[in-house]
Amino acid sequence: MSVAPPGGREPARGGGRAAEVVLPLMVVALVAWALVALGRADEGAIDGYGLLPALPVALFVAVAVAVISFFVLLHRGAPAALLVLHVVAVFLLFDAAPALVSNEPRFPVAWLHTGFVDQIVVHGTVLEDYDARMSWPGFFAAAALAVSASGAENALHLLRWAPFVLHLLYLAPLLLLARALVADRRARWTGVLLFYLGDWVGQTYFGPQGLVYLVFLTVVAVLVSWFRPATLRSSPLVQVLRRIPWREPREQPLPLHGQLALLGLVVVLTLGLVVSHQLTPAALILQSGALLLLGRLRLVTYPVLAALLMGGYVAFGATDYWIGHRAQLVGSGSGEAVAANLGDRVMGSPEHLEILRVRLAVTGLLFSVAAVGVLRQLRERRVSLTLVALGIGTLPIPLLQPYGGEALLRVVLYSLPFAALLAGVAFFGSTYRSRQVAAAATFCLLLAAAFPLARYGNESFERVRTGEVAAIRALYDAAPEGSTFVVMTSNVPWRTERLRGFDYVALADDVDKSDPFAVLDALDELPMPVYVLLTEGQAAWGREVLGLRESWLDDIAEALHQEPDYLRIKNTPEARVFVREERPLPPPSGLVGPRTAG
Amino acid sequence: MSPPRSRDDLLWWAIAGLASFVAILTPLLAHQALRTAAVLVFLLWASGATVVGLVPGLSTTARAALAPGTSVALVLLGASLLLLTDAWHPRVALLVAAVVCCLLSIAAFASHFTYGKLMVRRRSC
Repeated sequence: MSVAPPGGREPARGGGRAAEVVLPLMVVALVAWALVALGRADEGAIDGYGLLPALPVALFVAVAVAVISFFVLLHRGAPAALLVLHVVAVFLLFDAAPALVSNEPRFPVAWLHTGFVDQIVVHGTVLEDYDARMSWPGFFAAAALAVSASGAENALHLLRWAPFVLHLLYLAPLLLLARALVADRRARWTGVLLFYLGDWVGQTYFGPQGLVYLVFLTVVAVLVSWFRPATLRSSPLVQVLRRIPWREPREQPLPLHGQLALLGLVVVLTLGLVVSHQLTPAALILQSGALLLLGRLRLVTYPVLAALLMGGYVAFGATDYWIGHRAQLVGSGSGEAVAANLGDRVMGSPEHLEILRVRLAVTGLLFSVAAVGVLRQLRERRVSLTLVALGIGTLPIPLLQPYGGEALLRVVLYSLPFAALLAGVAFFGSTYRSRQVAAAATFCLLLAAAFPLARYGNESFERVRTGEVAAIRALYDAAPEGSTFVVMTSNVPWRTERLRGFDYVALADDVDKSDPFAVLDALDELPMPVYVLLTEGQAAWGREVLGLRESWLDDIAEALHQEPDYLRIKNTPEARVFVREERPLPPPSGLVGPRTAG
Repeated sequence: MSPPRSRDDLLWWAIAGLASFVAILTPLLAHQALRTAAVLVFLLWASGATVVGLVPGLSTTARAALAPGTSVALVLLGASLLLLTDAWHPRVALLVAAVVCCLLSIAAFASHFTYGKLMVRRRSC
């Protein structure tokens, strides 16, 4: 048994130097092997369990060795650069998996975002009354700036590696946060690794949430690194808090003019958040409010300032949104919110339900271990009130608004860095034994094993197929402006250009998609010409999420084929297109062949 | 602007200045991938690196931690302002921002030598 250092690096033990060379080299070689194997993997193996069946053994070997090597080096007190290398190796492997296995960049929502970017690139404006996301245009404007300034045709080339770049960018503020809040070096680094292994929420894609999360982490890192009082500030809870044996690493010293400059920086960062995302500023207000309540924020006016900035922007900059969504803004009953966030999401095929259970288990496990970390701190009389405040600060979000059924997911996302750090603390107390490293490594290996299922379990309907992209491109080339494009479910890589040029319709949830005639009736009400797009991704969504029968989309396709008003103009294994026009016309050029039998 | 005093500071300003300079040259780069890389490095790191470099008293580690988030926030805010004020000229905006960052980096880099000369003079007095 040895006493853990207060934060600094321990000298390397016997054989440490050799391990610091051999292990990283081995990890780099295994990562290279796994990336090559991923490039050769069979995309067609993706099924109801998502990406998992398509992943090569090399990936699992490389991740396992990287995790074990990380803990061996952590145990030996290796330099930070080597630990960073291992953390990057782990998330590179997981982020590269879908990027290398699939021909097309994943996730239809990311494709839709390229359409929003295209609107700004082409017209220099956002569309009014089109989509709530347009009321917070920061991300789309920034991406449009990048596309225009680099002279690229569109933003599609940014999609594939966006998750890796975002995870890489998170690392710097995360390390600063960890250094400011966790004294023990091993607990700190374990927490950082746990953050990446627990991030199955899937917001790291080409979209506003992924990018503003970086700003969110940076603001919190500044607040806890330089604006944290040495003693408890007076707060309504101060009498209670005085009974808690708390102890935290001291904030970093900075001269007054440096603090003023950082204050200006925090205001700029908050403004950047406010114009770019609806929920993240609210999360920041809640977390800074929690810090204030627990007496752990010197910048007492910050929560109010952030609330004023957010309120001011919503009142004057996002009028398009709040005029149409007043009921959502003022919140809904907690029962409705919980139903939208949990009850309505836990449904679908047996495989999908298993994936949801894995996700709940991973989250439950990580947050339970974080709770153990708090208990350990209590026992050792060194509770980090700041970590606790940041870990629970965003819990009220689902009670305020359901956020399209995703509020609970976002709570997990905003709490994750702090829960991960507390989980790291759970493994490493004031005394150090090598078995603690073994326990932490085992836990990380468990999360790493569950990660492909938790993160990429929905790949059957979140991936984009080459045939789907080809069908949509052909539609754009051939359909006259003003046509109506119809899909059964919204997970389609469309709306990548000319947002106002066409009417994009996803059939409403209340249309019974298991009944082809109900679908035909719904289609009859749409203005002509109507282009009905049926894709494999939609079929998978119906099977996995809606729990429809295997042939539900084929049945609709057959019913459309039997209807004399509809002409089938594209028929591939991955996409079928039907058109209904005022009068029968030959198929538009660029689309495949005349109507075929069967 | 406080003068850079350590080798880390000099390296910081040299890299930030170089990244900004490459961003200025973006239209001249032949390959699309190079143009994209130059723009992304500037937008995701260099602009923020210049700004946090101006904050007195920050260590290089702290600067490295704050630079990406600051860059992103500046770009989100700047691009939104271009849109909201009907002044959507992205290439001009990028050029102006890159020139400003490049000049600031050069000034900070040069002030190291001015500061060094002053110190030598003081000692000789």
